Amino acid sequence: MLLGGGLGAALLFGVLIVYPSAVLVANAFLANGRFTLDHLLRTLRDPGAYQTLWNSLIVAGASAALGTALGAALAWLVTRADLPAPRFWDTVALLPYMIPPFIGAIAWVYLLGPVGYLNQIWMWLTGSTDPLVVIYGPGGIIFVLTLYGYPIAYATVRAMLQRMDPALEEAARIAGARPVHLVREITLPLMRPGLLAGGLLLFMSSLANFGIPAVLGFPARYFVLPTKIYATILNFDAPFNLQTAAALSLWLVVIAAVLLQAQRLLLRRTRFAVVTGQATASHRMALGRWRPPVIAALALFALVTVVLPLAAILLTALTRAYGLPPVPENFTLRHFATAFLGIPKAQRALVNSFGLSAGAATVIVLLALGLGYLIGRLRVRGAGLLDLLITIPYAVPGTVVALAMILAWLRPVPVLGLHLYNTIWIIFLAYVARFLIFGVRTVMAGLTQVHESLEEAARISGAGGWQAFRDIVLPIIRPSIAAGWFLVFIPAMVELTLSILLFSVGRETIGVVVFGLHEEGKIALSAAVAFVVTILLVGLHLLTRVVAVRELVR
Amino acid sequence: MAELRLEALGKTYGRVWAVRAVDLTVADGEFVTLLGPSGCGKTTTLRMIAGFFRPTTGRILVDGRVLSSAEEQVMVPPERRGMGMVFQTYAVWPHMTAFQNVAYPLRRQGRPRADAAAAVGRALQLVKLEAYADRYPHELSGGQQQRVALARALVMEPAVLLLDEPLSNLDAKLREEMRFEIKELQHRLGITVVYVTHDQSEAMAMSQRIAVMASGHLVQLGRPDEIYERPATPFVASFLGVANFIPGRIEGRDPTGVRVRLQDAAGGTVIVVPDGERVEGDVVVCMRPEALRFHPEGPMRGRIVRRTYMGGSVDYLVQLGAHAVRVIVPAGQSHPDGEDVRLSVTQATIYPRTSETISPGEAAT
Repeated sequence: MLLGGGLGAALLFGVLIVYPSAVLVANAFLANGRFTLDHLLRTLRDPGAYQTLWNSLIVAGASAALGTALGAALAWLVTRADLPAPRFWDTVALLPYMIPPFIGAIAWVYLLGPVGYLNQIWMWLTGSTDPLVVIYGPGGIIFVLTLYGYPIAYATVRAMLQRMDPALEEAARIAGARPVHLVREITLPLMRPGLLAGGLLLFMSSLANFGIPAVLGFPARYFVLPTKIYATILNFDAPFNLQTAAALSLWLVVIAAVLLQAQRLLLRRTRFAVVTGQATASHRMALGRWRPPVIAALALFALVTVVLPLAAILLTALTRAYGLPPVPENFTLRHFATAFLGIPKAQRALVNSFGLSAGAATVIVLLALGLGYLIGRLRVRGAGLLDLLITIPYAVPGTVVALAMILAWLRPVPVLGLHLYNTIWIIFLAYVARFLIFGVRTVMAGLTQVHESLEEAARISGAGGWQAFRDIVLPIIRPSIAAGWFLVFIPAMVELTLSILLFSVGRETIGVVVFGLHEEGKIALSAAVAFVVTILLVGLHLLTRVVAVRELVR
Repeated sequence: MAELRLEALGKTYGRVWAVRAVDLTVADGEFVTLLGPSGCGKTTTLRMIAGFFRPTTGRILVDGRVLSSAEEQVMVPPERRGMGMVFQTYAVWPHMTAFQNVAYPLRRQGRPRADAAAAVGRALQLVKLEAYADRYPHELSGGQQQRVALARALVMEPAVLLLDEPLSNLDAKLREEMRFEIKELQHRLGITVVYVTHDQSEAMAMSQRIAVMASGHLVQLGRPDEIYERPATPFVASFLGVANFIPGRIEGRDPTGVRVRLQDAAGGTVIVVPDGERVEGDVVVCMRPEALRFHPEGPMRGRIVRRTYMGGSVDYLVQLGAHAVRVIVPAGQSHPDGEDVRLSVTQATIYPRTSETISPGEAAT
């Protein structure tokens, strides 16, 4: 059983991760079966490539800096200030994370595109014929990346603030530090590695993002690495287009690897304070006369990140034609009907996305249980290797993962003759690889919390190994299993980056359909689909939060 | 009716012997404690008995039935040993009520529902938790969880009950209480118990016999009083309570005992140790603080350097030349700090002086 499990795991990671990675690297250095540096040199000689790299670094750097500042400020307010209903504001701060980034970008096109609602209001108010600001281009990309990315930094910093021993701050208060000094001289310095780590994570995520620069960059002919790779792959006329894309991908992979390592080193340095639990009311600082303006600012922030974009999507979906003023005379439900009943593509996409997401989530959770058992209980060595393997497809940008999958499975599988390319299975494999980390980390964390003696107590009570697992371990980690499942299911439902490169006719996903309709100019239809899935997902997210909280309280 | 026998039991991790050649027979209904510092092999031994570890050498038998045997390749899994066990962490399942926890072993046996419910009721009553049957573990205190674990171990009326430091997570008062309760239960049920602890007072209070372990070996097996009064090695002496060690040399024998010349300040104090061991030459004398008495004509001369009032008794530190010894006497007779005193000894143990012998005076402070 041990050997079988080990072999199974090796085969699985081979198919999911190792083989595609190897093929990707090989393709960057092969031409007609022989080693070559041509592809790499081609990208190095291309001034356009440097421009793209530069664009990528600017966009990712700026949004990481802004997002970290924003996330840290919010995290401090939620964990340390005497806000009313901190849990509510915590949810608000996390809400943008629940909106798929490319849908966020599309929503901001409705708001600040050339005929966006905010621009229309501006023109109507001032009588100007020019829009206030057009969201296309680097500024807009940075803005939207920040709005929908900062929750990553927020979550990292919040976790650190919650773990920090309150005595560290209390000692400073006793020593005479006023709140301003406390934050500047104690809290911030203690948090510095954590802030940097959160910022790096955000930088990586922004660097890898495809949807936002695709929606906001293509109209301005502004490219970043992922969109450039995407365009290169689709440029079928160019010789060696896939190999050039592979060489470009190496750039991204190298950057991602360096950043990931830096982030890990930073996190290792932040183990300064032992967990003591949540900050209680007594650790919260009085905002005093700043309280009302802070609350107002938070409300305005929620309006900008969540309420306005969702309203814009809904209005666009309800309005007869894009560009007409969103007034009741122009309202219609026709687009919803057409989107979900009229276009077979959209219906198929719903089914496909649901099947892919539920399937990937289920497979990942089962895998995680098996792996967790192998490593945690049977003490099979390789926890470090496993962690590295599951990190690769997540740390590497999705565009690169998709390219690796294309290159690996373009031809039928040798010996078996299986054909994966142009089937739904290649998307499935890509999803499993990409989201593996969420499920595995969550489920394994749950498993490690089940003390071994709980299982042993069942054994001595007369239960066999499998029986003890079923009666004791499974029920106890049920919340972790559910959390892991949804952590995979939710992002997979609106996945765009992998699907857009791997889909074929009949195998569309929701992301592909929303993006495709938008690009085709069928704005209202795109909005109708986007609105429904976004509401669905935000609802699911909130539901899992409520369930998770209830399980915790129990 | 259950006699537990360990024969030449051993366990290695890599090249290290965690347990080596342990022979031990626990009689039916006997309460035996495995006592020793952490890493001595006591828990490993217990887990071999439970069936969680496979012995590297030797056998484990209950009433002559082989449960584990390295030579014969026998390894009965834990679930088929019919033993009860209480874990250090209690291991009360958080997703089951107290009742469900206790009922689980019977469920696994396939006991009829009504029959099982009655047995669970009896077990909960035994540990005085009838009123808490429907509570979940997080609604119970540490002591109550402990009782649930105990009830769960007892519910199927096991022939052998294993307890792995069950009291170490409880506060001092509760620990004291539980000692007596466990002992009382064992007495009432006539169950064979193997108890693991590193707490010598716990071992003394509860056990019929104590097996002292050190670095994988069983160093002494005996009644608590035997082990306390006649520790087999200086290690046992210092591990069980306070021991004063003073180096000396055998001078000869009297009808009343052995004459030992102590290496104290005077360099020539001779004491007579009753029933001295058959040792010669350089020795170490071990004296319990209770075996030392203030006596105007005592052979040892010293000066009181510290006096600690303990309630029922007083704990003195007396400097005898280069060595300090602790003397515990009933409260009442009082000696101030700095007073010159003379001590006599009522009982002592003598060990040959070897490299292993604990350096004199070390355990006395």
